[in-house]
Amino acid sequence: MNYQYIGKSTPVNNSRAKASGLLRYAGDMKLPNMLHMKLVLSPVAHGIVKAIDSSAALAMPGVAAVLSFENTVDTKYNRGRVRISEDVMDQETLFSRHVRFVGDRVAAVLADSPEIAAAAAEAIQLEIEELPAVFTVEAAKREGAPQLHEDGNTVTLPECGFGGRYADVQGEEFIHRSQTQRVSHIAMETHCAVADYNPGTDRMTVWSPTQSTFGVRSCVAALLGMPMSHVRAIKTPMGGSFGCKQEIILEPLAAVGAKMTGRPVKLQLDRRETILCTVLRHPIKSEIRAKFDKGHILKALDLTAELDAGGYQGVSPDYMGSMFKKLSWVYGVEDVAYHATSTCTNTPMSGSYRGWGGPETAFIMENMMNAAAQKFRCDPLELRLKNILPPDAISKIGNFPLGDVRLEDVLRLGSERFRWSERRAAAQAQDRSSRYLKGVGLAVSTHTSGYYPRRLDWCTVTAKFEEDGSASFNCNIHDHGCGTVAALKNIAAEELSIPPDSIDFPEGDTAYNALDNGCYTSRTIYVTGRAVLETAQKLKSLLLENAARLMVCSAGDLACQNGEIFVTADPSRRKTYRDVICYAADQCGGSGAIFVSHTYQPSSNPGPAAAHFAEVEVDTLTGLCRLTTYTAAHDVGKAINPELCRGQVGSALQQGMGLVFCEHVKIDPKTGQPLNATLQRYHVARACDFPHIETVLVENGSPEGPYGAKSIGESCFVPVAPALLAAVNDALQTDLTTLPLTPEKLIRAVQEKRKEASL
Amino acid sequence: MNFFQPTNRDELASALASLSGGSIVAGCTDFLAQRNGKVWHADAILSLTEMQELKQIELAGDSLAVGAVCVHSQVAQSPVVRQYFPALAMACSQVGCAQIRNRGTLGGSIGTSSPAGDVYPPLLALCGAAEVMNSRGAVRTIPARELMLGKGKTALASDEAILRFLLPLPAEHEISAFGKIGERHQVTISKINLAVSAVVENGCIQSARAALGAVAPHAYLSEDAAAFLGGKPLTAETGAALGDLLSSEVERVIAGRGSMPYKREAVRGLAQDLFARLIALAQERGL
Amino acid sequence: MEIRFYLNGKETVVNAPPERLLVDVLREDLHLTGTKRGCGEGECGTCTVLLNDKAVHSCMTMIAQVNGHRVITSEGVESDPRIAPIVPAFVNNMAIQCGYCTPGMVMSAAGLLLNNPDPTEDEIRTAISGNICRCSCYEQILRAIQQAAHDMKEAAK
Repeated sequence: MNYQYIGKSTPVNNSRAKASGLLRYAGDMKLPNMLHMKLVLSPVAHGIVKAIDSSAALAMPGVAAVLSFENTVDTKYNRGRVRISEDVMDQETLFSRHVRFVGDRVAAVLADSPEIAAAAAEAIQLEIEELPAVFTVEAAKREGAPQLHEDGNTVTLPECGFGGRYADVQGEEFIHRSQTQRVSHIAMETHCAVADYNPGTDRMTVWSPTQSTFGVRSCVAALLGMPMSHVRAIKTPMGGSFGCKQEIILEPLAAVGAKMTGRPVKLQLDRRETILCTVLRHPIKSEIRAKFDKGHILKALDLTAELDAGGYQGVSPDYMGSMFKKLSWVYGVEDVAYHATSTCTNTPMSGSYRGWGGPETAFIMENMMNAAAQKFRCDPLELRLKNILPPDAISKIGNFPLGDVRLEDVLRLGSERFRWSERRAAAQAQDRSSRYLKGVGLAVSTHTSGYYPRRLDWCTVTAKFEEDGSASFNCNIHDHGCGTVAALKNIAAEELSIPPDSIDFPEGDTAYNALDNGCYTSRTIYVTGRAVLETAQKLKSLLLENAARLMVCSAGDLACQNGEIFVTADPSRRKTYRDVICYAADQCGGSGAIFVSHTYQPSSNPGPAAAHFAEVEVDTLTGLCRLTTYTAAHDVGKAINPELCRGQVGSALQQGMGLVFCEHVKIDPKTGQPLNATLQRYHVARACDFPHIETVLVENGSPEGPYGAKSIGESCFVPVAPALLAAVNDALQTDLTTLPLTPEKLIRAVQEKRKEASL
Repeated sequence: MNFFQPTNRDELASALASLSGGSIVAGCTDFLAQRNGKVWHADAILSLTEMQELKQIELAGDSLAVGAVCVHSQVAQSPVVRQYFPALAMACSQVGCAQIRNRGTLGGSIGTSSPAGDVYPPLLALCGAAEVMNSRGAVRTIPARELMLGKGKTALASDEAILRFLLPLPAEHEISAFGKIGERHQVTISKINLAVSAVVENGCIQSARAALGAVAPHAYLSEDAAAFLGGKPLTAETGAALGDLLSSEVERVIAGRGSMPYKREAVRGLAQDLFARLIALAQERGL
Repeated sequence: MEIRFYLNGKETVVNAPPERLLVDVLREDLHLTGTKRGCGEGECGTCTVLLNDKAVHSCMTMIAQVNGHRVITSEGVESDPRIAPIVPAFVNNMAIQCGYCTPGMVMSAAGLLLNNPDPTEDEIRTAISGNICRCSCYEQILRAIQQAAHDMKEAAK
């Protein structure tokens, strides 16, 4: 099919404004009489704040107020709650008297400038009675360990699984353990929220780069005891999220400050605060027991995962459940048992990270499969091909059709492009005494394209034509910066036969959008995109209905192209959209406004398969690794915007490289103090660290996605870490399982290997 | 707050006299990074960035005088520095990232006196010296070896500022190189760095100096390495042997330190890489 | 202290404490919010501006130090014919996603190309290694800068 806009690589929304510094993010907003908020954080990992002395701060000129647990509500809430009906644990409060990690919020200063606010925050004296602290899950689980919360430190997921008892299954058992560390999303935009309250009208407006404006509204309205209709949450342009802006963290604080002072409030965190006080990826320790039959078919799994929730259980209980749900989507295993715990420790809070459990599960599974292949001395690719589910399999968890997941296609196509067999053979034949050792690794995975059927999913869109023939769409969209608005505009443009630039698509605003869950679980293209497509079709129908009346024919006689409608059989008979829209509004017989509203509910959720292939070169003297080749094969259904798909893979690779090699939020194991909450000591991969990578797209369509599209935003991150780890293990002939693979760790592994070899 | 921005030596001397405990800054890449996120006050700051005469690279007798306020990128790209002092050019080209290199200065790097600083090892290996001036305008020269007194401490008095670095023009057939190993390939603080200067004739090292950094409280000249290199052929094998020697040295110098097992191994890679650069340079110049 | 400098081609006067950071003067006092504050320690590159045509961190520069000098920010790129082609090159090569790193990235590109009009791929990667983009692995940005180099050379003819 030849599309005008679909399948074309077009720039994201507001590209020119972004490049010329003219797009305003939340941190760039300035409201008249605005106050700047600065948080006062706990300097200790565990304690009770006995007294707060704000006298010096309040005496400083320009300081408007000091907020703390002394003058704000102590209602407990959950930062992950989007809908008020969600049944999740409520442990967090606006400010903490009982502080549970270094970085826990104790108070906040509101002042005329950021400088005054910072100076005043420093002047606040805290008297804290320190309590014994725990910094590891083991320590927190021990008998007699200090309890962080009334309901204990650990939440245990009820036993889950399917099939029979693991113990009863016949087969060779293979046990594998792995561990991932705490990392930060390092979105370039640090967290920010702006709030404005009008005491006269009792109206609160909150601006933030959030993934869920309705989540912001629920939380703020509940904490301030305001009717929802009095709270308006607006999404500002987002400077990256990767999951860190999914949870409601700063918005209630800014709102409380605005309500208390009657002045607008801006709260923007610096990088250190963003690392410590928002959300980090869960440190996870896992043990997986797998049984394979003689043919290396995986028969049974028993997986135990221990999550470190940090100081409070935010989304962690749900997160560990989400990890389980992804266990039945790739391999045809008959018997699975899953045990998981989420334990609070006196460390920064863990929470949402791109993929929401999918990458965490894939890391465990794919590491096990790669290690098993090493042990069985078989090709990791062959091991996968034997075990993957065929398309249209039913997920044993949730009992729903996985759809046309092209696991085999991505494995075959990706491995061919990567020249897997050739590279693998070369690595196996290399001179092992060489300083530089090469290795290859792969991982396969799938993900989701929405909520269905785990929970109800829907999207309501309104759309209208303006009098000049341009159009405006409205739905609760939250572009992370990845180009979803551009994609939705292209979908609408394709259906309406007008250029994407003539379509306005404002982002999430609770005042104007129908209720929506928000932008996660990779639902934006599959669900929101479909909703936009159907709405556009409905809008076009209404336009054609009016055109038919104006042109005295039937709608079926008409065709649209580039803002004009013409009779197919006689193209000289044509009108512009503007003619028709004005007719509709001016003449009897017209519809009035060309305006439609439409709701779409998906009844499918096809998995987007992905297979990644990595070749690395390890310097056995310095422990530094070089990524030499990387190929990603993605089953996207249909690439609405191919270059943006490739951009997504690129960012996933960067984050995966960081997770595997160099990113790590380090906490002092004795004091709980953060050791490297700065970019000078928290390392990310840089432009000089990447080769050219190849992304191949499998476009086999999908039942409901717009033009057959599925998703890619999270699915591209799922297989990265295990592919890279496998490549390093292949190079060194090791089974390293604890991230990150720092140069020091690799040198130790090399030396141990040499010792083994000489014995 | 007193903010001084002298444009000539007289103004500089006068500013140094009034500074009394204030900070001397230039590119501010260390000064401001250290104060990030903190509420800070200074009674006095002296910024050298308007001292044009301290941004020059020019011959001074039989030395090259590199102004202390020269930024790293300027030094890295200077044809005369690349010709005569490749180790210094290499070091300056690997400090931080491009933006840091466009602001950070040689004087600042020495003044900050970090054990992992990349400028000091080449200065040592090239027998450089710092020309410093005090608040009365008196100028003295401090040889590189006497410049550092430990972590964060230099031999400068509180009213002294570095004017220029003097690098004696190399002997005929003298080449040099620099290398560093950090947490990643670029934009990284050194975990270990090395500068080697050698007089090479017919593929043979006549004499050499090697300065090892980021190991001890400040970089130092390795007597053992110098003694070893004299008379050896300029080959990869010598580079590997140098690596072995430095490995033992690292093991002794930081015995018991947590980073020792790693640095003891990484220095081998560093030595080999540096030697590869020296060999290439020698080939280019027909030595 | 009164500081006079050229900002995006126009003579500008500010009154500020001499040690006030350039990034804060730009964003808070002059309301040019294109320059961002991503870390405050010279690591992320989102605060990059041109100072006398060299890419520097505005979070590592005191305002007094720009007295008498020339500063260019992302807001001034399109009106500087020497570097204006960089913006469309970024837009058309899909080198922009969330956009937060983009102003700094554009300025690093400008700094590179003004001093080295014909950079190799390695030189481009090195020039932008001080700018973190979390939305990509720099593939599209690399292409954009190569395009900009080409377009700037054409324009100079």
